[in-house]
Amino acid sequence: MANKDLLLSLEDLKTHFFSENGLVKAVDGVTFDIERGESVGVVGESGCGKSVTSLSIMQLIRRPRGDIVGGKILFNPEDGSSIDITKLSPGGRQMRSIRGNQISMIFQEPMTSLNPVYTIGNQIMEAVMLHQRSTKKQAKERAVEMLTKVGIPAPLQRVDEYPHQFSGGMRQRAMIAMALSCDPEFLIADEPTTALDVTIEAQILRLMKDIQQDFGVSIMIITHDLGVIAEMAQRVNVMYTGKIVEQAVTDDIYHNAKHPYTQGLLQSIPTIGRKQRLTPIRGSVPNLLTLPSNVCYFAPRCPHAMEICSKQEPPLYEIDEGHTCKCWLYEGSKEVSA
Amino acid sequence: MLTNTTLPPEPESPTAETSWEDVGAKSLSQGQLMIRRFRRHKLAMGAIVVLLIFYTVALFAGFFATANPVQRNSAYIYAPPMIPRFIDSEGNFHLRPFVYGLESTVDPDTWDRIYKPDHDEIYPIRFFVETDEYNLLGPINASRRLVGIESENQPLFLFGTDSLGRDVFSRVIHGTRISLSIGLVGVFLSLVLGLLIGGVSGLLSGGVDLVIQRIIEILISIPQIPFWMALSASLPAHWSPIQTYFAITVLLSLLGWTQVARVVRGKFLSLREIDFVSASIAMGANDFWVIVKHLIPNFFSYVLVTITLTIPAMILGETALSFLGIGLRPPVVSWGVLLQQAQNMRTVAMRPWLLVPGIFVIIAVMAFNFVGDGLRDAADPYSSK
Repeated sequence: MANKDLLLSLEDLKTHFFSENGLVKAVDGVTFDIERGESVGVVGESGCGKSVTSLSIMQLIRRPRGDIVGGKILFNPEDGSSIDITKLSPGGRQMRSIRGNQISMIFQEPMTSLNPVYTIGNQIMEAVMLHQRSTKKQAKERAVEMLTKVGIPAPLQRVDEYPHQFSGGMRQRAMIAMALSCDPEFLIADEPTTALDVTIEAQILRLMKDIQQDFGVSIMIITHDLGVIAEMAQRVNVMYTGKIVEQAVTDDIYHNAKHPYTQGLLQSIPTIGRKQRLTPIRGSVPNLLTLPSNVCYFAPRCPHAMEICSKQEPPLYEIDEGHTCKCWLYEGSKEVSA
Repeated sequence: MLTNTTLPPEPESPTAETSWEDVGAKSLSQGQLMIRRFRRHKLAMGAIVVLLIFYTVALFAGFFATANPVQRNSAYIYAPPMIPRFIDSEGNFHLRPFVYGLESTVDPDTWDRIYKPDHDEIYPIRFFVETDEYNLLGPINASRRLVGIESENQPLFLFGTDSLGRDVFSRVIHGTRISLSIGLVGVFLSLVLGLLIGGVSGLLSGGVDLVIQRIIEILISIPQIPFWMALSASLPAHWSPIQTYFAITVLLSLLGWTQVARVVRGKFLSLREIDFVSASIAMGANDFWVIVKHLIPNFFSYVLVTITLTIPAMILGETALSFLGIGLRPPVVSWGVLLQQAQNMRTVAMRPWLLVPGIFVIIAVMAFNFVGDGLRDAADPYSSK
């Protein structure tokens, strides 16, 4: 691979679902890179393909309802090898040894992500023992160690407690402990704080930042909350209807957003002290089943829509170094071959 | 890699020195919580005691019976039950209960035997009486029985006798063995079939699921009794009682597994969507691990409830088949076989004690239902009781 620091790169990833009503192109040609030790954000409204992207990386798309139909997911772990995840069998040994071990995931709902039947310690031990040859005792020591790392008080007692004895924030901490118990290189956080209240959200985000430094893990954080992105990510991918519409470093997204969709998202965030009404984005996300081909899908909701928008799909333009945008407004800038 | 930095603990939580056991908050597993809720269910606890008594009686039937269940007494055909009393005909109180001997005469018009208690013959009921040797359990023989009277020529008939003069009480006690074990064996078969087929149906979904579910619907819509009659009619007549017994259990569980399969399938479908299953797969677990470690422990309590509620159906099925004469046949003793004698109105009107096995069927079925109810309430983590 050309770039030694590249941990994961998606190349024209296409994940489609075959529903009874027709084909749903949930992820349709997504390309982005994640470097070692970097935090990348993926933002977008509900149903724009954020979660499907993360499930594709984990090979957790349930067949035969959906499948990765095209593109590559190149994973370059520390040992120097390079694996195309899309080529692996989802239930196979190699994929299983990547899941949880090299790539881990934190889910949105801490309330249901832990099995009520087992103690917290038991579930962390499960993760450890799936990947490492260790005795029960060693695994338990590891569980206590991890609980300490994520700031659970009295870990020696807490390790033997059941999920119902944990609060939402504590459960999310336990989930993080579980995800990190095998020292993964890449962590996918799928809306990790959406189900938590704001003060706990701040604690968890702070924890994730600290942990990124301690463990040197790369994080892909998926959210619809631009505030979370500002806190966590160095680079941002904005997704709309299964495609990436804008890619930039976080600062550029906030201060120099180019795509009308990104601008719309930013305008619909309330800020303290602002007196005017919020400007929401008109309309709603279109039904993925009835999308026409070769147009800009945002055109019907776009305040800057032009004639060409509903005739031809815009290419990806490079506006600045590391800042790309998929919009006809920037016609004339350098096109990026996608 | 790990460093030595530790993150600040959650502010509101107790310090590391506080043991949770000290505060009195003990961690209970789901199983322990379930047992705790079950124990508070009085009816179910009562039913458990009844069932324990029944199964103890079934295990040591010889000890609890008063006589050999196949021994005929030609002098006592259709003898009525001998009722234990404390007060004799002269009004004297006896500390030890006793029974009167039976005096039989023949009705000159109908030629029926008429039995009358003989007030001169008083037989005190004694415990652990010495009788003929009988087989207690497997290779163990014994000669003492729980209750009895010490008399050479007067047998004790607590529930009367049947058309051959056999003691109904002893026969009911011995019938417990088959009637109650057929439920358990049948349910075990149903459980295995149900877990397997339901699991496959829920796990593979799609076409396999569709076919299995339609087969279950067809099986459920077949009227049970005619179905069983047809199948049991095809059992060879020369089979030994043991063979027939197993054949009947298999027949009963052929329909019984459908309920278990439905529960298992439903649970598979709902649980595999749940986050902790996805989380476990995302941790690198394989299908087998997920099923054994995450799915089964989460729905086993529901399966337990279903099978507890299936046992009475099995018991009733056996009773119905044997009552109709197409299930177990004499000399095998089961409650259904015993009830065969109570098939006509004349018997029911004149010798109501032949219906006693029916009372035991009702008690057993109700007890299982109460236990099932109790388990269902206990298994529901959201019940507020």
